[in-house]
Amino acid sequence: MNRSQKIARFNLIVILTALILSGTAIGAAYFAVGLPIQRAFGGFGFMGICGLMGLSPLLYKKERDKVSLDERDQLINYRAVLAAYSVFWLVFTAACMIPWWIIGPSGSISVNVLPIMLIGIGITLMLVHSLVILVQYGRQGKGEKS
Amino acid sequence: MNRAQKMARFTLIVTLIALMLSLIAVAVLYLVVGLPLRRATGGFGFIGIMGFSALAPLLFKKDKGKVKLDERDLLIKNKAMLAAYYGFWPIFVIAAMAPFFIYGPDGMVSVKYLCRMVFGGMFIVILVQSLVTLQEYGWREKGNE
Repeated sequence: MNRSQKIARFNLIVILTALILSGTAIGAAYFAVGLPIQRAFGGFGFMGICGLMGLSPLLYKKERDKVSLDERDQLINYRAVLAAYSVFWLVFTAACMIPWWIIGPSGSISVNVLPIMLIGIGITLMLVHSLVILVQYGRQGKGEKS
Repeated sequence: MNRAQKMARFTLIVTLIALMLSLIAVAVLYLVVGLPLRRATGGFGFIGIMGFSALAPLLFKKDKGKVKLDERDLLIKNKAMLAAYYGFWPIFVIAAMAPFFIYGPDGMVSVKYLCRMVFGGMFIVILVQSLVTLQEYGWREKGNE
């Protein structure tokens, strides 16, 4: 497994852990504790775990004496970024237009929605990018090293 | 000039015309007619001209007997798309965070702001993509059909 794969795998694990913990926390707060849904959404605080993704370049450092990227790795990265941005565009348009349809053209939304949208879209980007990298290399190690 | 260049040039011209007419309209409505700024921004309706950029694939059709794309064209296309999205991301971050800092956490924004974000984003992506495509190929005729 090369460095890109390791980083993608690490990011995927972090995002999925954050999503599962958030979902569990919301479910527990709403069904077990009986909080109203708006307060139960506080369980999304577990998404903060995604901040651990920032550690991936430190955990998997570049080795100085080796070639870090060849043409194939670059092409895979290109494709992954393009796939991520294609999904980003769909999610971004949906996130912007759905409130307009639900609330109507003269409605207003809290400014808090915008940073939440930004974080949600950022996490979706990272998730798709990591998934596409792993799918293209193959999900298991095939002897690639870097 | 190849098809990608012609399309990029057409899109760039349409985008710039839309932007210029919008700015002129806003300025005329605000400074000459004396409308309040909020109503004068209606001049941005001219951005709708950008819809003509969708005609580019119809105006510059693929030639059946020729190779449509080689590796270099694909690389330029990928680079242009990446540049467009990389250009859009910081603006999206600013657009999403600015109202929070301006109005505070209890503030409200109109849903129209979200629609403007989509159209603004589309404008930036199309503009940067066309610019980078033309920059990568070169702005002038080089016989690279």
